[in-house]
Amino acid sequence: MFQPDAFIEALHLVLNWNTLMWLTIGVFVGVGLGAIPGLTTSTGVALMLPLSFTLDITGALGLVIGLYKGALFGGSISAISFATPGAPDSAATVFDGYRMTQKGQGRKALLTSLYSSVTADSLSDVLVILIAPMMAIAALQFGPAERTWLMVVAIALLGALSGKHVAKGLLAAAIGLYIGTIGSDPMGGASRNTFGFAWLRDGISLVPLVIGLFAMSRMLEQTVELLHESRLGHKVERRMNDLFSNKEDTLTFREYLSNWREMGIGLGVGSFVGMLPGLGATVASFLSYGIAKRVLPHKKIGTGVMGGVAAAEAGNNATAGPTLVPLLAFGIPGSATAALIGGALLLQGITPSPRMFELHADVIYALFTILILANLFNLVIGRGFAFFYAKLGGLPKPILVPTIMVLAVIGSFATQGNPYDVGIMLFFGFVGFFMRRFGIPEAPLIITFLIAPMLEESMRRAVLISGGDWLGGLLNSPLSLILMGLALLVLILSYRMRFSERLEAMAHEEEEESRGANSDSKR
Amino acid sequence: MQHNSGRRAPARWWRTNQAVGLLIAVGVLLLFVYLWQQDWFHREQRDGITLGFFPGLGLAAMLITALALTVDRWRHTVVEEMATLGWRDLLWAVAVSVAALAMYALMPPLGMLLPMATFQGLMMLLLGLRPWYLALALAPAISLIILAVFTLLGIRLPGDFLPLLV
Repeated sequence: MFQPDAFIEALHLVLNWNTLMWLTIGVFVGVGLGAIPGLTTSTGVALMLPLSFTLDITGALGLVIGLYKGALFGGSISAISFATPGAPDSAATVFDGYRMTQKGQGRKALLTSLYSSVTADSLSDVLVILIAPMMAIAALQFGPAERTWLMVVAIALLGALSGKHVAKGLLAAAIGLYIGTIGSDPMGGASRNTFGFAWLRDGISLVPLVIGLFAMSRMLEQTVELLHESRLGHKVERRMNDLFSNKEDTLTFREYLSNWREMGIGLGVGSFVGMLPGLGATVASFLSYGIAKRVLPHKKIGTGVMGGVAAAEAGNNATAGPTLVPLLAFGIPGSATAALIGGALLLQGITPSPRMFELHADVIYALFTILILANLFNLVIGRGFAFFYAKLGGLPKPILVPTIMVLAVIGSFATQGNPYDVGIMLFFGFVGFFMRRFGIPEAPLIITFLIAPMLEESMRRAVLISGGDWLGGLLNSPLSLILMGLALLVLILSYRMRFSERLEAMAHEEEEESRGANSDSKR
Repeated sequence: MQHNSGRRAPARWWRTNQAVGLLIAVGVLLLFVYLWQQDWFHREQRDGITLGFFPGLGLAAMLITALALTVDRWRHTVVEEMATLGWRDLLWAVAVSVAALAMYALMPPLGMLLPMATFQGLMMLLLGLRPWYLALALAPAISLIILAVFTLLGIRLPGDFLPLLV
C-alpha cells in the first residue's frame, strides 16, 4: 500500500544537499571506475562500502547506487574507445561500438551508449517500483518453510547460472554457506566454528570479505598479469586520437529514436534477467545483442552500427534496478552488487526483507527516488565528462593497482577499527585470486554468506513449529513442495542443458562473427 | 598473457578440475575431522539441533560439489587461467599480500604516510612504471591525496599521519 507520509519523508531525506552530493560523487566515481579496464562495478561498490558506513542512510544509498549505475555505463566508454571493455558487462558493446570508432563515429557511439543506457535503466526502474511492492506483499504470506525453500531455490539458481560450470557455482555457494556459520548461532547466540579465536565470535565481517574477494583478488590477479606483460598503454594512445578527431559527428534526436526497438529488446531482456538470481548484466547484454541481431537483420548489427551499441547497453543497464527486486521483495540478493547494496543497508542497521515496506517505508521510497535520480545524474555526468573518462581509461595499471591495494587495506580497517579485518581481507583476497583462476564465481559466495543466517533461522523455526519433525516442518504446504521441486528442477536442468555453456558459445560466436566482419571490411 | 613459467609449473593433471576438486575435497574432509573433534560441534541446542549441524551442512555441500568436480563431464577440463598459472604467480600473490600486511603493521609505529608511500612506490616500480623517479614522485603524492580525503571524510585510520604526530 502506498504511504503518502512516508513518501514525503523520503523526499525530504533525498532532496537535500548531502544526499545529492553523495549521489553525484557516486555517479562521478562510478563512471570513472567503469571506464578503467580491470575495475568492475563490484570492485567499486566494495571499496566504497566502508565509506558508506560513515554516511546517513540516504547518503549511503546515493553513493552506492550512483556508483553502480555510473559504472554500468562507464564500462562502455573504454569498450567503444579502445576495444577493451571496462567490465565484462560491456563486452558486447565492443562489437559495434569499437567498429564505429574505427569508422570515425566514436562520439556517436558513446552518445548512443549513454542515451540507451539511461533510457532502459529509467524504464526498468519504473518496473521495479511497480513490481517489488507486490512481490513483497506476496512474500509476507510465506512461513518459515516457504522462506527456507525460496532461499534454496535462489542458491540453486545462483549455482546453476553464475558460471560456466554448475559445480563451481554451487561450490562457491557452499563456501559462502560455511563461512556464514562462523561466529555465533543465530538462534541461541552460542559461539561456534571460531577455531579458538575470540575475535571470530562476531563472525566474518562483510566489508573485509567483499573487499578481499572483489577488490584485492582482482588486484593480485592484475599484479601477476602485469609482471608478465602489459601492452595496454600503447593501444590506448593510438586509438584515443581516432575518438577525438574533429571529424566526429554527434547523435541527433531522430537517430536516438531510430533505436527504439533495440532499446525495447534490451529493456525486456535486461529487466527479466536482472530479476533472476545469478545471471547478471553480462548475460543480459549478450542476450539482448544476440536477439536484436536476429530479430532486426536489416539493421546489420555487428557491422559497426548504433543499433548494436543500443541493444547491448540497454540490456546491461536494464538489469540495474531489477537486480534489487529479489533483495527488496524476499531479502535475497540476486547479484553480487545487490548483495553489496544489501550490505550497505545492513551496515545502516536495516535488514533487507519484505517487512522493509512496512517498517522502513521511507527508506524504500528514498531508494526508489534515488534509483530514478541516479539516471538523471548519469545522463548529465556521462554527457559532460564521457570524453574525459575515455582518457582516464588509459590510466597506467602500475599506478592504479597499488593505489587500490592501499585503499583496500585502509577500507577494511576503517569500518570497525578492527586490525583482524585487514588479515581477513588479505586472506580472502588470496582465496578470491585462486577462485578467479580456477573459474569459481565469487557472487554465489557473497550471496549465500549473507543469507546463511536467514536460511538457518527459517529452517530451524520451521522444524521448531512442527515439534522437531523435519519432514512435516519443511514440507508443510503445497508451496513448499513446489519450491523444493523447482530447486531440484533447476539443478537437474542446469546440468543437462548446459545453459551457461550455451551462453558462452553464443558470446564466442558473436565475437568470431565480429572479427570476421572486421577483417572483411579491412580488405 | 604471455607466460614463461611453464617449466616451474606442476604437471598437467594437477591443473584439471578433477585434481583441484580432489584437493578441495581432501581439505574439506580434514576440516570436517577437526570440527568433529570439537566439543561445541556436538552440543545440543534448545531446539534439539546441534551447534555443529549448520557448519557441517556447509561442509557437506562443499564436499559434494568438490567431488562433483572430480566425476562430472568437465573433470578433464583445464580452465584457461589455470593452465597458465605457475608456482611463481602464487608466490607473487602471497608476497604482495604479505607486503600489504607489513605496510598495515608499520602504520601505527611509523605513521601512515611513510609505509603507504614506500609500498606504493615499490609496487609501481615492480609493476613496471618507468622512469623510476616518476614512481618516487607519484607514490608520496597519491598517498597524501588518499590520506587527505580519508581524513576530511572522518574515516578511521590505522595510524597517525606522521610518526610522533598526535
